[in-house]
Amino acid sequence: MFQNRETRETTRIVARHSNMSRPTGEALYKKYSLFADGNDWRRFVPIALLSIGAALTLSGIVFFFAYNWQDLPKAAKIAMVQVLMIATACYGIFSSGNKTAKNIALMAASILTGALFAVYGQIYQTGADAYDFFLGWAVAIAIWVLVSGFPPLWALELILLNLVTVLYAEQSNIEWDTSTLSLILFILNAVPLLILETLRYFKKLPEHSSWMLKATAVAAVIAITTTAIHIIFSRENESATTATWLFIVVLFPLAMWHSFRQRELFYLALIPFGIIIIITASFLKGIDDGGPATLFLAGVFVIGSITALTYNLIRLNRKWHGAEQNN
Amino acid sequence: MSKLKKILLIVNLALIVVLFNFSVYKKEQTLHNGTLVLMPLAPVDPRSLMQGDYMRLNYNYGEVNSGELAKRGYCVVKLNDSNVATVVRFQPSMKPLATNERLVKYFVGSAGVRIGAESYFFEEGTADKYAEAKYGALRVDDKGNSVLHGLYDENKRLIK
Repeated sequence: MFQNRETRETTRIVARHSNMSRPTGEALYKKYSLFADGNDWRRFVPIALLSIGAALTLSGIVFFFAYNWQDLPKAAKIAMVQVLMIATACYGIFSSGNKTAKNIALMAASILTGALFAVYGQIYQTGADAYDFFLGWAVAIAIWVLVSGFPPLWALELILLNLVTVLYAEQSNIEWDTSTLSLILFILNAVPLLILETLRYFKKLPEHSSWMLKATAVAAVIAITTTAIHIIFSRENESATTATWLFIVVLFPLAMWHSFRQRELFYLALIPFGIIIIITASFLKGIDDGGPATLFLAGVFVIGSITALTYNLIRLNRKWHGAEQNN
Repeated sequence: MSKLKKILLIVNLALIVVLFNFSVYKKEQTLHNGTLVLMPLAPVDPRSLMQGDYMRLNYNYGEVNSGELAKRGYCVVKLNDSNVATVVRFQPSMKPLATNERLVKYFVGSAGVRIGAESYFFEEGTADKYAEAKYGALRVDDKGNSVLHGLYDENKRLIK
């Protein structure tokens, strides 16, 4: 992949800055198979159609049961979802079809498990949006998630765990203040992120899964940024405050350094934005003492820092990836 | 796919199916053999994404300060002739219990005392008829496990 991208960039730069003719350039692109050809499309289309089909079918099933048909006997409801779930799971486990199709079937079975629990909750009235519902779901599919090695399934599990945490904090009577809750959410996403980065380092990350890593990173940075903002506005909890600043001081530079070494803009864009938000929040905190002038300063700071950041990102991008890089 | 991986996937499936159906069985037991307890309530009606329309239920526990209660325990109710419950007291264990009293397990959540059935799911678009609900009808077994099986109107009739 990486090799491929480099070749494409080199070809593009050479094509742009020499008197190479357009047909020659295109021939070169073809030679290094840098254009998606018939075979690539033949691989892509079935997977895309299968994923879209599965997603639409599943949402159809979920909404069908969400309607809560009174005339449908409860045994029928339970049997219908269960048979569907078992059938898709069996396809995912036993079929000799291709790996992606099996993984998508396992993903469908995992979502149908959620539908099954939802129907159970409807019939036996176990409470709306209860954290135990999502916890039960997350636990029930845990082995599938771990064994499958399928990033969309990891994403589903992580979303469920985030939901469980938030709902638990709302519904139980443990008294987490807001900064503690968002700090816990940060750890919940940072740990998987660390695992994903480690997998990537050892080249064990499945193909086409950098989106999962990036989504997790965005979730983690949003969580720690939110925590910092809570702390700036109300110092509720001393230990959460210490932990947060420690995480920021250690992990932010580490992630940026990592990004720099990988010649990748991702953390270099994400983290400075987090920092800008945190600094802006502290400007706004000072508004009581400084009055309207603080608001003005905050505005100037946002414009200035975003401009500087964007400028530097463009400069780095040019340096690393050539004159024009669109992806 | 390796053999171990396959076995793990199957074990997961079997666990879901067995445990799920076992808990369906347990709920059915409570529904069939439990005592009918009508808890007086005060309803409102929002909506849940995966489970459709529901009514949030607020049971009438009388004067109780949830901050002073044990986190988990039993709500003791006394039933009148038409099974309408009056909360007598909260206690941490199953005893003491008079012959005309029943146990309902509770826990204290952020919104106060909860018995696990704080909402009632119904078919989409049928909210109006449930607006008349006066009682939440629980089936309660002798260990205090409860299943909400319907809402009753002021004449103590099941709303269908």
